[in-house]
Amino acid sequence: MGKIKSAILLTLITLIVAVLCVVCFVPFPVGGDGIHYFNPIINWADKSADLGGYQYGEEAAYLGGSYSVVFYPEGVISAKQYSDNADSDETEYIAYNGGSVYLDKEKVCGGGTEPTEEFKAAFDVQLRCLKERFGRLHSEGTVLEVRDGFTVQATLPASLDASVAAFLYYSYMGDVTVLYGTSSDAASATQIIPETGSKPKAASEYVKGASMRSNMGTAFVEVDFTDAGLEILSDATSGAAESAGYLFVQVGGETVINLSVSEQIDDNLYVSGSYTNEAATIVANTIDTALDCGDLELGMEMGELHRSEAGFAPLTFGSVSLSALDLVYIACGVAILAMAVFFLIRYGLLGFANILTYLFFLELMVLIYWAVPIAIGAGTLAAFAISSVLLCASNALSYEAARKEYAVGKTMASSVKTGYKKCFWHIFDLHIALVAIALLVYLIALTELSVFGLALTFGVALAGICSLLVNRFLWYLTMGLSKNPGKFCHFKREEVEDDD
Amino acid sequence: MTKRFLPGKLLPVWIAVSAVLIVAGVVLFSIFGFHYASPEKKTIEIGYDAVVYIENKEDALAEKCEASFSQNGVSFTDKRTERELDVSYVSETGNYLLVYTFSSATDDAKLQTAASKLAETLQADPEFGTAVSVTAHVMEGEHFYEASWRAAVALAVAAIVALVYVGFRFGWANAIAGLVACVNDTLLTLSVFALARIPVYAYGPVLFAGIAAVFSVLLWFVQCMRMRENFKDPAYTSLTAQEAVGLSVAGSWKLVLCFLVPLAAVFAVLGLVASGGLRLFLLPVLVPLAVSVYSSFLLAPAVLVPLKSKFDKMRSSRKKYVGKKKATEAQE
Repeated sequence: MGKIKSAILLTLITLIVAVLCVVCFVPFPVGGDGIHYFNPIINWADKSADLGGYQYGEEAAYLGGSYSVVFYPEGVISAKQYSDNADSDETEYIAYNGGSVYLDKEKVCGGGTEPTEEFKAAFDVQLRCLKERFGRLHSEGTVLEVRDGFTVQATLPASLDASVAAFLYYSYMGDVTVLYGTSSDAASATQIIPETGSKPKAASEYVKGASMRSNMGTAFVEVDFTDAGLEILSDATSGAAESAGYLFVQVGGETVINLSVSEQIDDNLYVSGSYTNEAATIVANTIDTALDCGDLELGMEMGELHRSEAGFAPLTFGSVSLSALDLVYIACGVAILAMAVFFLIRYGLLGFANILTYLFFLELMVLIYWAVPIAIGAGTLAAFAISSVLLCASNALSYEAARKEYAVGKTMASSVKTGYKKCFWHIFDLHIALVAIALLVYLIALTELSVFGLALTFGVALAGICSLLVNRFLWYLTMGLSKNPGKFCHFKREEVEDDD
Repeated sequence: MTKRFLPGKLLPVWIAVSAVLIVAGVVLFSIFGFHYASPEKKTIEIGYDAVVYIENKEDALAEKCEASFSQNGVSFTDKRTERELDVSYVSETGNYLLVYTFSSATDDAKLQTAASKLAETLQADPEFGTAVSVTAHVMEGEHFYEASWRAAVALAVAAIVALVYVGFRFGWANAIAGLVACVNDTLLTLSVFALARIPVYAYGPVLFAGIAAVFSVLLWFVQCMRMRENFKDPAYTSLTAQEAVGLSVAGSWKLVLCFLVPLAAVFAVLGLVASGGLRLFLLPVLVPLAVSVYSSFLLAPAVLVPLKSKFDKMRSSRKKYVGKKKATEAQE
């Protein structure tokens, strides 16, 4: 390629990389009012519970940190609730764990001073149910802790869109009931499942389970009925074609599914609507786990919802306070700068080809994190670091292979070609093996490790493509600018001893 | 004259080292089990209404709390602010929680005393009065075991797939040596955790064993690539399997260390800086890293030498075999 063509193409590519860099990383004012700012893609990308987030725009949307809630079993109240109603509660409640929580004397302690065995057993069932529900979310950063013996604190990452719905639905304890009526008010509907009578059966005799399904981007909840359940449902809705009715699926007396019925139901229930995948999963989990936990008479209440900043304590230097995310950005910046300096010293102006390749890789990774989306957290950062090292190492490997060829007297074009040929299988083997490992980890593992696997799959695949295609193309372009390619790349010929 | 590294000769030594450590680890594990870190943590929460009552006094409040803690002989490990949200609109209510975390070793009675003294101090202060509430809590973490066992299965499957790839690309002798290293690393990592009493979370041992398997395969992968390239060199054709493997492995020290030393340094520095759960992951992960270096440089090459000799012999005898009839004709 001619010098001019190379220069034009290289300028164009540099411009594209620069524009992408601004779009991905640089906030700048828009509108000239000093209020509105362009938010770079990196700000839009989700952050895990471990990293501090940003507040931006008028909506002050939060992109990091976590939400937490304390669940109180029926008969257990917080110290704040106790002090708010001190006059009326003084005789009904006793302090537990030094006044951290207050227990109902009758309901929890059976008139004594310690919780009864029945209450402890019921709380254990509630804990098992919550553990199953939050575990099934498979969400990175989910934490469940027993607090003060008889309450449960749950933490979910703020990046999970349906966090608040999860807390609310997961606090519903008790058996599953299905109600049918002609009014949209559940209170006036009649319970059809389980059948009310002299010998009531458990809901699991009528409902097999519930699960989230997704088809063509639409999420729905499938409620799977047994034959007995279907028969009752079919009988109850037999007149729905003539006059529409309303069906309610409740857990512990709280409605989780509410739908109007305009025809007889004689198959499993498929409920779609405004569900996202997360919301449908939460509803299905609530029903399914309630069936496993049986008829639990002890209810549960959700306490105050709290939002917390990053899991890592921020560092403060004088008046400047750095969040965990700031520290990550600084560390990445220093590492990239060190890489750039190393390549420029070792390979001269050829280092620019590597820097451009790396920046291109970095920007694409940020776009992938935002578009997929992959929450930026410890796992994502580890995967990003491994992919970055792999890309730079592969580039260095190809440069070194070409350097050896050039040293023995080949032309630069031939050195590049032979060098790449020699190291191609090394680079290919390493990348393909890592992609296979990462993909399997993503498919089999859950939560943090799964996110790591997904980020590594994208990172390594992109690093391989960038190393074998983008870097080679940029090398080819940069070479076209120089009359003395050896000097340009800091490559030297081997000195041959003269026999004379 | 420099001494050549002959890995095959030291095979009994490496087997003995691994066997002794693994057996000792199994014995110690059966007596004491792993040293699980306490899932317990303790907190003191200071609730306040930042908007109405103590606007712009958060720093003064924090200072008072911290001074009170040091007076009462308790020291916190972490501090964070939580904002209360309205459930319906997910908007801030103006109530804040200042949460101090203490280590699980903190005495319960001391913590309760510190909390009640702090409450007294704050209530006596006209700046805060009854606008703040102080409570001490004991938290015990619950583990999601599905995530743990699936992580271990994922890493084991990934390691096996990588080994099959090694078999196809670099020969089955290398795959078998890699498998031996992989199994050894998994067991040795677990043994080191049991022997050194390194504190781990409930899922830790399984996860670190899986990580050891993957590190082991990756390092062996690099060795295999080096060997395949080196064995094409005419200088290697005159060498025995023992010498060839030894020379190739000795030559890859620099390359592997170039990757591993920065990686280990990153884990170590981040592990020292990070707190709580992350530290319990980042520092122990150095164990599988060290174990996989041992097996990829010492054990696996030693296992490979006899295997390579045998496979080389089989290959050469297969090449020489021309059939009984032809051989008799040739003799005649």
